[in-house]
Amino acid sequence: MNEAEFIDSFRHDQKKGHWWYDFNPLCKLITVLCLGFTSMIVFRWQVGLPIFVLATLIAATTPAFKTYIKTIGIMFALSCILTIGVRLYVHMGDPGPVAFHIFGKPVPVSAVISCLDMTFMIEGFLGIFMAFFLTTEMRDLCCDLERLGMSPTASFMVLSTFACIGSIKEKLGTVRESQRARGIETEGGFAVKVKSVLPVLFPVIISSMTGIEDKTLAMNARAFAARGKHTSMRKIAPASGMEKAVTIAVFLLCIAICVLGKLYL
Amino acid sequence: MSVCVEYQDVSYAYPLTKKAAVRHLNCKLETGKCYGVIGPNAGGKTTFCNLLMGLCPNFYGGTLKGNVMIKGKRMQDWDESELAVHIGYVFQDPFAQVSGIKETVFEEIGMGLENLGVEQEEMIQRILNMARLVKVDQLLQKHPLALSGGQCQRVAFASVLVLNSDIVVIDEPTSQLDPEGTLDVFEIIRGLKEMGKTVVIAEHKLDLLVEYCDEIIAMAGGEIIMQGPARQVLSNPVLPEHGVQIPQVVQLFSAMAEAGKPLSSIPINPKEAVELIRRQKEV
Repeated sequence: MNEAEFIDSFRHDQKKGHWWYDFNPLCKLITVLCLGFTSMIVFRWQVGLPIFVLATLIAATTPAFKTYIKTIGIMFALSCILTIGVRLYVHMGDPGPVAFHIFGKPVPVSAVISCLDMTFMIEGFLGIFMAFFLTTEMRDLCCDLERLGMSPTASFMVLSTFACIGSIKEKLGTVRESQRARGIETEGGFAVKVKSVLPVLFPVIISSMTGIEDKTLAMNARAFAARGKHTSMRKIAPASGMEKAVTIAVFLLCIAICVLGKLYL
Repeated sequence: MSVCVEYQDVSYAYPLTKKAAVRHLNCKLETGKCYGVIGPNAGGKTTFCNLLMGLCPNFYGGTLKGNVMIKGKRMQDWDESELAVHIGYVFQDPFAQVSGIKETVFEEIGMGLENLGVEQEEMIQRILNMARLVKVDQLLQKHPLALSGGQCQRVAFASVLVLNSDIVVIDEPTSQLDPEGTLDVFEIIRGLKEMGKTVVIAEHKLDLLVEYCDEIIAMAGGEIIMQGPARQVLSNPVLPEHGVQIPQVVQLFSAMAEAGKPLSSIPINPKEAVELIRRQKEV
């Protein structure tokens, strides 16, 4: 992009040419919150599974699908191991009818259902939130929220918190590089990586905090405390009628699912 | 020239300390002039700048005696946000001045304007003008954290200067920069002077201060030892007695004069020294 095109891009609404990326960020957040908490509130695989499938289908249409499937796959494996261990093997109370045996131990049907409930509650919740975070720029969401009255200070806090996570990750990478240069083993399995990162994790977090005073002064020098109207360089299109309608429909649907799910599932 | 800043018997102590960081400061700064603040470490240079920006005591707390008058109004009477528009502030760590929430240099420079509620088209024009002035116009699409120290410091300058402050306070802006980055910063300072801004710069690089500043304020032990034109201040033998460093060229030629070498004057920068030696040779 040349300079003229780059500057001109700020004069128009920020668009990426993909329906889910360009879905109004606030409407997207509300939709995701409704679906995620429905999965959590109903806590049944019959609800968690469709939400998980929906999240995966949405992610599949985006360029972020590879990252999505990699992360959700790890979470799926972890939650399965956890729930199998807890729900199947350490099942307490009246076991009811037996579904199958693992290493000679009977696994009741109720334990299998409980395991599915837990797994798909987690996957439904995480899946839909991942589909949101991987495809939504926080600055766009904050910009939209500011338009609706959120204070620029709150917006800055949200954005700098996300930025801080990135900078800590970057610093950890730098420390690991320097450790490697000193002959400390940093490459290998999960355990080796954890072993190399843990001792420096807290110093890195603390060192990130020491820059807060300078950052405060720098923001003060940029009229951060100025009262009155606040403008934004980036333009985000306000929610269209269709986006609002979809959001309201999802909200009402989720309420219905929560009520019916609690009554009949 | 009119006086834009006046320190009236100002003493200030940071919180939890009994000893005042600066004592009985009395000085006047005129509009459009460039002032270099020099002195040893813990001499009070940074506190001098912090007082001017209202950070002492507004941000740090502590006890302030006397008055810092900015454009005829007591510093305490200024609204904090209004003061930030009138007085720009750039400090030593270039990367600490990056907001961290903007993804391009272009947006980073415009952040202050967003805070002031400037409309988009005006914002774009002001950013482009400032980017050209501080020579970051080729970096506009880059991420601010992907810049070198010198580039980042120039972006920090642009981010503050775009607010069009009349007074610019710069606290050791080159301490983390290479020689090239240092010269870039001083070129920006030259540009500020040409624009008629009042510049206050605390710095250790005396040779450069001599070249760019109209007046020098020498501080030691929290007090102003001397204020005046660079030649008058830096060739004064009192400064080394207070631990204030003087340029090497002044040290050398003062020693030569003391050793009996006849000199028409004491040069205060290498350019003057070369000129003096040439003249001496011709004679």
